[in-house]
Amino acid sequence: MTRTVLIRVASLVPLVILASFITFSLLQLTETDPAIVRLGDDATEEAYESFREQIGVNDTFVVQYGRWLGNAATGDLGESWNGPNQVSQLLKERLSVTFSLALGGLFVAATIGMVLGIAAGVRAGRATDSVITAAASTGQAIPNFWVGILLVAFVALPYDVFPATAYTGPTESVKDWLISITLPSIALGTAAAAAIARQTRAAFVRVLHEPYIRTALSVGLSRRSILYRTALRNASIPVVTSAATLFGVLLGGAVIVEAVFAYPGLGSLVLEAIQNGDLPVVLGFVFVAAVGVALVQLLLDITYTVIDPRTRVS
Amino acid sequence: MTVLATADGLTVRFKRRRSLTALRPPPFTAVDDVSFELTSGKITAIVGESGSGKTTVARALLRLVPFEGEVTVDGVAVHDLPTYPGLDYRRRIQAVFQDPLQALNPRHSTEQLIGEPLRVHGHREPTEHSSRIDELLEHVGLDAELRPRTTRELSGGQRQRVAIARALASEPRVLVLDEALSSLDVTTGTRVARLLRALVDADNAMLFIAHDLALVRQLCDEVLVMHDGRIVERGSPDDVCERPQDPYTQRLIAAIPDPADALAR
Amino acid sequence: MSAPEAPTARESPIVKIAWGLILLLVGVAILGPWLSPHDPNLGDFSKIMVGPSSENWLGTDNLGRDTLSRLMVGTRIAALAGLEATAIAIAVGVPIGITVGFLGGALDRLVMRVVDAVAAIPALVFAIAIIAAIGGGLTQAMIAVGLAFSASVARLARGLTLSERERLYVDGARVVGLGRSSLLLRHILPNIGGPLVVIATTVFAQAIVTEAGLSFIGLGVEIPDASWGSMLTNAQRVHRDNPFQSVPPGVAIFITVLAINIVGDSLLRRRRGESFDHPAGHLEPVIARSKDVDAPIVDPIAQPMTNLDRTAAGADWAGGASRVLTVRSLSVNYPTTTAVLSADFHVDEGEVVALVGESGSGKTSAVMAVAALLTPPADVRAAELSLATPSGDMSLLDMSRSEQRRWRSQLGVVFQEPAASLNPLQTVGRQMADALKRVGGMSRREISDRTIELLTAVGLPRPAEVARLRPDQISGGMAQRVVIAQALASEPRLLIADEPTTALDVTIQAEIITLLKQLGEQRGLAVLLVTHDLGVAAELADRTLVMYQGRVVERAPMAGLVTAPQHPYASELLLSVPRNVGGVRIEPKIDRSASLAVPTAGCVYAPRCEHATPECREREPVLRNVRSHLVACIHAEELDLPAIPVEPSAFEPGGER
Repeated sequence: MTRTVLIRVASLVPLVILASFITFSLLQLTETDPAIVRLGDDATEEAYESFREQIGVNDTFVVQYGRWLGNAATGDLGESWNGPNQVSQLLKERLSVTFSLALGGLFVAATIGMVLGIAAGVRAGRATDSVITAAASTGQAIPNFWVGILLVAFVALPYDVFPATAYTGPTESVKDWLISITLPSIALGTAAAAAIARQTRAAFVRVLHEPYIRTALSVGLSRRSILYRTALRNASIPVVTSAATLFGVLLGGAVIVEAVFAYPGLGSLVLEAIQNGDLPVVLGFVFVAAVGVALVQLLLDITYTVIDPRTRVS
Repeated sequence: MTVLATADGLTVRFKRRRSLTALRPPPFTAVDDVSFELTSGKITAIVGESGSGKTTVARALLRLVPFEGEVTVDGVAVHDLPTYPGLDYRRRIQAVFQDPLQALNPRHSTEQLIGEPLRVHGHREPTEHSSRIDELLEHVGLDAELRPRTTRELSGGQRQRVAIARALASEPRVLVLDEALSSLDVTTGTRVARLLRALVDADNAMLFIAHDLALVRQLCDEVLVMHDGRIVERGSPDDVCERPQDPYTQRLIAAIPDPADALAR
Repeated sequence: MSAPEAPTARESPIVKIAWGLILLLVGVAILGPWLSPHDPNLGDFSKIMVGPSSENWLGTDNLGRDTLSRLMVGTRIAALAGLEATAIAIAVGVPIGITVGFLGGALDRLVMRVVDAVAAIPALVFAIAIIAAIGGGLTQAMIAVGLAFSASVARLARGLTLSERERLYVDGARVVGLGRSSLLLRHILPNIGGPLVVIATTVFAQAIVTEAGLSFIGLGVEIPDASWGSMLTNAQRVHRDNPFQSVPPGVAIFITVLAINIVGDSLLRRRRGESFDHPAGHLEPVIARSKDVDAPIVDPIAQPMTNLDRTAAGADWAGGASRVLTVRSLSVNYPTTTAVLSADFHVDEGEVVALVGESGSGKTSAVMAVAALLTPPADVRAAELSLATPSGDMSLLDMSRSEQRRWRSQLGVVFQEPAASLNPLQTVGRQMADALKRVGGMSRREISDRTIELLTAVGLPRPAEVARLRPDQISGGMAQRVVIAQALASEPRLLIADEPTTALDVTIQAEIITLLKQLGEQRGLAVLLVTHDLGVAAELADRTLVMYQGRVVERAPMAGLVTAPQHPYASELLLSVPRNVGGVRIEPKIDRSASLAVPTAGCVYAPRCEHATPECREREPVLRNVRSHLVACIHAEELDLPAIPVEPSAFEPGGER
């Protein structure tokens, strides 16, 4: 098991590094001059030049990227062009909001989606299934930030249970944190739950056609045991596999949904950075997102090897 | 009788997947030093079980897998050919595979399937293609009215006859039949086997890949028995089946179920 | 069993409505600026945030602008944005995916590393990074979205190409002489074109949502242009005072995406042609008592069958004490075909009965009905389906669905595909234990002892080790032994074996036949064997039923069938079995291929029968006693059908088996 985990880690690290390299290269396309970003329009050419020298943008591309990557490995994502702040510090302050929402969304999506998907799969071809399938097809089309807007307009503002704008960090109060991420998580999770429900149903139906289900039946196992042990475990494999991609989608969605609730997350930080031409922050943002997705992927990979022993490395 | 194909020291190795635990895994030898000749007017069989390498031999002859050793087909040195060997080679050797539902493009009609080699090889004027298609269908015992049908709309035997007609369209010298009767019902298989017997003549040779030694004994003129990538026994069907020398061949023969065994019990 | 035909593409009304909506949206996108009732950007300050009225159907916004007009203009932006992003994603992703998927090798590995790395970044995050690099604005935003989606499009296109390239027909076309480009253009592309269109619709829908999202946070369309996303930004500013303002743009996005998804789904379904109408029915077999109880199995025109005839035909209807299974008038119908028509058979203790026939003969349907494993849409009817058990006789027809579980645990079933018949995620031991737990009354210790005992009984060496392995870690022959052991767990008196050796190699087949023979003899098991191979049947069976197109055409003792088949089909089948005997050569002959059609009247075998007369095409034959066989052929008495020469084969292995 340890070995399996180590091998998964070893394959995810190069992926994240390559992702950072691609983003780093991409941001070289910009015409933004960091010296102007920091010093404004009216500084002297010498001042500009010495600033460029100081932050190292005059070095070759390879040297710049090598330095960035070396620092990133120690948790240092460089200095913001816009001010003396460390990018990692800026991101750290905002990280909790966006990741809380994305994980909350994943939780909502996974629980609701699995339950509905199983309910539909078990009763496939009957009324329950038709209703759930129709609801899932519909739910998948609802834009998450619009759900957020509606929740703010029709739930948070009229009733005084959930905050419309105030985010509370989990370190301050777990209860308030949970309350503050409930509505955004629902907003994010709705369409994702619909997607998981459809996927679970499809996987379930496919598994029920496998010959080993017939064997289980012929051996005399109960319907319950076949559905909820044999079939469910087999059907959950494709769902778990795709959940990492879904987490990426939710992380992107969280950037927009947090704007609906005016939560101070990565989204508002990066929007400000784009307006200011503060590219190290943008790069840091992409890097953090990629690392986040990779970590979730790792967790899911481990779950996956628990469910499906065939994937274990021996 | 002329020799239409030869294999000399034919060996096929497959790379194994590299993994973090095995960075340089040794290759897997699917076919190991196999030599044989195909002569005109004869059906030569390669018999073996799954994993014996018999299908890989066929794929090497068809230039679908890279191989070591020397292989010639109708005078062409196959080992010198590129991965996509071009029409001059392709028209000399054709193949019929096990499952026609998979081996024929599911979107194409009978007409398109048989017309494709005619068009590609440009043997005849395009105006003659249509009558040639009818001729080929007739040749394999099919009605011309099946021309618009796709493989899904044909019976198992009809599908395999279409595959044979398609293979014959370029007038090949060598026809490879890779388990071509295995997916058919036994009565249908017998009819298609009779067709094959009728199609082999002084101008062509057939390589019949099969797992069924009893069928091979009735149909073929020469038998090679393969086991774990090697040829373990060869000879005339009656010799091999009546006086098997290799223990594996003996096991294979002992395993053939026979209706007459009902009387022995 | 014949593959079910793909359901005809009948579009549901919902799909039609979705298409209608898409056409409507296209119309609005093109004509929006001319159709809009008001100037979308001109505010009327006398009418700020009014609700829907005859003048402003969807009300006005906080600047007094007409919401409907802004929506209509926004439609064009949504459509253009969606198209632009989709076009870029497809134009970049598809060629990359197809190229590397088709060529494979080092290029594929290299490119896919990069694609995977891009795909590891959430698409929206990557799009934001691109916007940071190339600047804001609608066009730039959609380029960004298109590029961000292109990675996953490339992945999907590669997957499609790769799986298509590895299909046998591509090799077939290569052998015919097609080069790389023809293979790609003539074979692979047409076959993956459909799925690619489906992918494009998905990307299009996602692009519309993403455009709205980016516009909403200010990275897309620039104020004051109306985009559905920017309308929501605007609405959000005033949602305390005018919550309704956020509804119309959201509904517009939602409806558009929904319509595209519905159309995409319908394309996908049509493409796959799958229908799982009664999937969970797998767990709920249906058996009904035949309405026409005791349907005549005897030809009313010919003389009725006497009990004497029946005894002679190996059908002892008196029913001895050793009778295990009795089946009378069993029929299995599917919506479009009759799989089994009024079949009668029985199996006695220690006896092996074989159902022999080719694909489509209904033999598997018949025994799966007996095993209570057929599910909707199969319709099973019988006059009698009963099993003798130590605790008295059981009738499947009297059992409710939940009670059928008891029936199933009284018999063991062995299936055709041993590897697929075992749960891939559980060890052999675990699956054995599950089967044994059903029997009940055993401690864990006893269960594990019994597992070892059963695995030993089916001839597995080192049973304790095998019990710890998963199905993917054992060979097909071993897997079949495990399935047999599992079938024996409940100590059944009847074992049903459906083509138990077909998926196995010849030498393994011989081992499994020997095993089944031994188990039958040692345990006095009644065995109902299904096989297409008369050779296999001859090795095991005492009696045999030959089936053709759902009908039992001959029933006879095995030896009698081999020496003197009475039905023309049984004779043809027998003579077709390849035998290891000298002097038999397949003669060159071009037969006309047999037609697929099953006749609606008369004998089902008539179209293929050499002896058929016009009468055969009119009158349906029923089983009757001819020379001590039960035969369904009106000409049976007159025919002298060929059998096989029965000298033992020349080569007898010395104690090899």
